[in-house]
Amino acid sequence: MSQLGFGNSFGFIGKDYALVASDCSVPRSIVTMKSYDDKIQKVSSRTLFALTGDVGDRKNFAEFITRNLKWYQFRNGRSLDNEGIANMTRNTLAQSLRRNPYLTFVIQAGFDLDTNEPSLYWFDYFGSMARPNATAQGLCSYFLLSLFDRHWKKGMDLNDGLELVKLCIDQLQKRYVIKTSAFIIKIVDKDGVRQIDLTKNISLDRKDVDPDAKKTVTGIPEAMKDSQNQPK
Amino acid sequence: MSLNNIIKKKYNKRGRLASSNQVADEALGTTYNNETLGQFYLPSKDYLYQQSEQHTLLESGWIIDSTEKKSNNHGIDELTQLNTMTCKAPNGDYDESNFVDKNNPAIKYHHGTTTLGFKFKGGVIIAVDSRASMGSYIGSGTVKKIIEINPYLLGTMAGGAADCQFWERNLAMQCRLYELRNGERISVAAASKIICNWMYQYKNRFSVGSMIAGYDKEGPQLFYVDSGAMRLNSNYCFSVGSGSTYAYGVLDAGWKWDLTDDEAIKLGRKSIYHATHRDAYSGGYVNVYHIKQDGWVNISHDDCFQLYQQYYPKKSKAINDINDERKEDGDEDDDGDKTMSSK
Repeated sequence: MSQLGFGNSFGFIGKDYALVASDCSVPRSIVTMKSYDDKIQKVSSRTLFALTGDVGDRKNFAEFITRNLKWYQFRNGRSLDNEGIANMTRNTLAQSLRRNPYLTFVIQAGFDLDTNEPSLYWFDYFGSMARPNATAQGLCSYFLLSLFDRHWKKGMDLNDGLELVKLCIDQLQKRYVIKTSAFIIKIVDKDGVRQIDLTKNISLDRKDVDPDAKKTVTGIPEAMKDSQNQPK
Repeated sequence: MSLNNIIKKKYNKRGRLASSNQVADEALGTTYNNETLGQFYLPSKDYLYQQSEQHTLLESGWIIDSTEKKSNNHGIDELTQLNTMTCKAPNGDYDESNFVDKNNPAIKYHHGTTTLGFKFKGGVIIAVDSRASMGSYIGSGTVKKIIEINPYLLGTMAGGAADCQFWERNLAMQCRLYELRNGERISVAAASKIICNWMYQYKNRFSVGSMIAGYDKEGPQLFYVDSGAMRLNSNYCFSVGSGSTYAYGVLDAGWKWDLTDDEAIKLGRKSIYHATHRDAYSGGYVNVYHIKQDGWVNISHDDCFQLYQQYYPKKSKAINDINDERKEDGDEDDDGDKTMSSK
């Protein structure tokens, strides 16, 4: 499992949104167990976790954080803001490091309604945390971090952001040695969380045959000009 | 078991070194003739009644003494009417230590298998082989790798047989308790989640790669659950085991959602057959089950060599032709390639 590197994900913030994208495949030594797996979880009403790493750990970790946030909400009558969620995540990772470590790499993308600002956090499985503007997890970071350095600008609107996403995906398709079937892109802004369908899924010719594809990544062409993004 | 313990220099009455046969007779306390060879397959008294000496037990009931033991008792045990001889393989080739991982002898792997499951419009097809291998030793050719959890849920076995059997039986118990408490059948997602949570508590300490498949309110469901607490849902297919890559090849090429029941069953059977043909650790019988709305149905149980004869009659016949030719002393110098390739 770890020989192929864990999954890839990347994300950045724009003017009034935070965006995160993740690849969809679940490899197991030389076999792709599942080609369309949604690795981006909605953790709170305006927070997304893009988790890569060990499959059992990442699903359990996401559920653990989600449920703990709900519990916090019940106990304290309000929900945690993104900075609080990030610090809670970091604490969980760090404290469980020497007991039952979670082998997960997380990118948290969120939008705060109080301050009307998006935020992005990056976590390592050691419990280290950073708050960058644009980042990537996994082997794709070797290609994408320089792209972000060059092309990411402060205050990008949605169209520019999606062009940057397309640039990143094209670069990975071109140079990353493992061909990824598709990416799932999700965005958080003041309206909540929704999925963006950038292009028709770029898988092999059997895209019409693999039924998992129809559920998670549906193809809407020219979505960059499309203002009818699907809700949720 | 070192050779030194068995063979000692012995001098017979005439002062000469005893022959190896005589030494072996003394050491093992038996003579190898037709009668005694047949006794290798009987469990001895030591197997039935635990004794203080340490024994290592192989699957078929053979016992190998770890301590040197001379059993001169050729008689029949009165209580059990079985031969009381402690049987040994003549030259230690079948000692258990030859079938464990070279780097870490504590690992005894039983992993060779092929199981697959796929969804289609008529439900779910599950197909498995039936070979249990311990390294290069075939432990059994008739293992039941599909575990019937309840009349509408099936689990498959890959990895450690004991682990899969135990946890799936445990799951069956939990599913029944759920039914009694809630008055309705458990969903396949919930059942797979139960077993996934158990796996997470003992993460990576088992070896389980099983599929949980069934039919519930949301239609046919197929989940893959792993000892690393991986739980995947799919609308398509999974295949697990050493022969899974071969099965995937045939399955992916022939699958479409609109298969009829018959076509789907044939596809499942064929995929497992091809895996048994190419993978050394898969073989035996090909078992196919079909899960429909009102539960699962056991479709077929075919020997994989008979399937070979059915799918490739000329090729399989060619094997027999070679043998026949040799018996009849044919004219041609036939090494088999000619006959095999000609169709």
